[in-house]
Amino acid sequence: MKNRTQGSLLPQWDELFSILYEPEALRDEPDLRVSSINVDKIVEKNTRLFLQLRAKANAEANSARFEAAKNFIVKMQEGLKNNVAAYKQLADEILSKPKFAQLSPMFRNLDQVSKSDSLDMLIDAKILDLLEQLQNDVKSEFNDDAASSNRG
Amino acid sequence: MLLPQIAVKKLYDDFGIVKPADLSLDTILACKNIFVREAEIDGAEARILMREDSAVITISNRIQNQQKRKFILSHELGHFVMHRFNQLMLTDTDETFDSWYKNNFVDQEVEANLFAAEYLMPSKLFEKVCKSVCKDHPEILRDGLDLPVLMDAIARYFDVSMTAAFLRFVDCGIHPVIAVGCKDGIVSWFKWSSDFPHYIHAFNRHLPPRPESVASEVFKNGISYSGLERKQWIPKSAWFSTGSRDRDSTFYEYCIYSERYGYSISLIWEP
Repeated sequence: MKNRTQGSLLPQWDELFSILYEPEALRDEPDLRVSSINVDKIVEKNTRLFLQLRAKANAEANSARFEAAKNFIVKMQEGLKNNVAAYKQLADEILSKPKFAQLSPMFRNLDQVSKSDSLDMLIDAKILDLLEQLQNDVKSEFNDDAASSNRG
Repeated sequence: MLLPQIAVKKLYDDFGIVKPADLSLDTILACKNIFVREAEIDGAEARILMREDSAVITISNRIQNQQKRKFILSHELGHFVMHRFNQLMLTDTDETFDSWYKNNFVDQEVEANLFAAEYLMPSKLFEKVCKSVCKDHPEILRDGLDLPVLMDAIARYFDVSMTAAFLRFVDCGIHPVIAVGCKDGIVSWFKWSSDFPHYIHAFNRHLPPRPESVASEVFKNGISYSGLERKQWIPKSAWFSTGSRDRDSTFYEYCIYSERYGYSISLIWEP
């Protein structure tokens, strides 16, 4: 039985061997090297297109989270305008010097950071928190799905 | 290669692009998990707050020019790509956040500007485009280099502002040229191409441009030249000192002027 199984596979191995090692087996295939087609260029172009498409897909996925962040900004701005205690506390916390630097802000043509700029940076900081939280939610959702499909 | 050039090359490779038009800046920013918002900013044009894998760019809602907006966003992208792991700590001895920032982040600002220029106008492609424009429009090379026409074509191809195109042209050293910026009628900065080294000592920063220069005329009259008149003849002495054995030869000046910002930039070159 053992020998028969091995024996039945041999022709396939032979065929595979001939494809891999005997150029004769490729005689009917068009030889792309001698034709004017530059295979490397085609591969490079398609790799680039793939990378661009992947970037577009990732960007689209992130844009959904950005929409949620935009809604949050509206609420946050209203909260700060109306002196809601929770937002005021957050503002005091974030405006202390070391915390402020931890955010590693960088500016374009900085003249000064005014009080209202500092308050606005609070919104930026909260958006960063929110983006991180949303990303974690997506990750855990993905992990849950993967686990349940594995169980299935 | 400098760090900004290496960073741009990696970004281009990662996204499979060879020119900026291959993928929009918005897509790249969103893909990098960078959220962009517009808001009123008092003391800067834009800012970025960064974490390891996300960031928020806030750009001033006063920036209406799309090309300027693109340059600023590219500048901030440069910070995210190159500087998000550099943490310089603010200590209690630092007087204010502003002074701490200005003392510690000058180099990063320069790097981010170089990144933006390289991202929007990759040096190799820039050179190629210049050559191809000159080939398609031989009149550019006739009767001295016609930089206004060349700059128009470059700014259009890369979809950048004239200022960005001017500065990139100087950077790339395609032709000996010097750019001079004036603010409110006073020379505020200058930048020369690597092959234009002989005259830099002659500039007087913080002084008004000499009366023979186009920049001086533009500030006096409040308008710049247009169309075929943009390329103006000037004597060398309008911008450069001439030695006793040096004759006052002819140079060209192309000056763009923004009345709104009280700002001019002149490109000066030899025929």
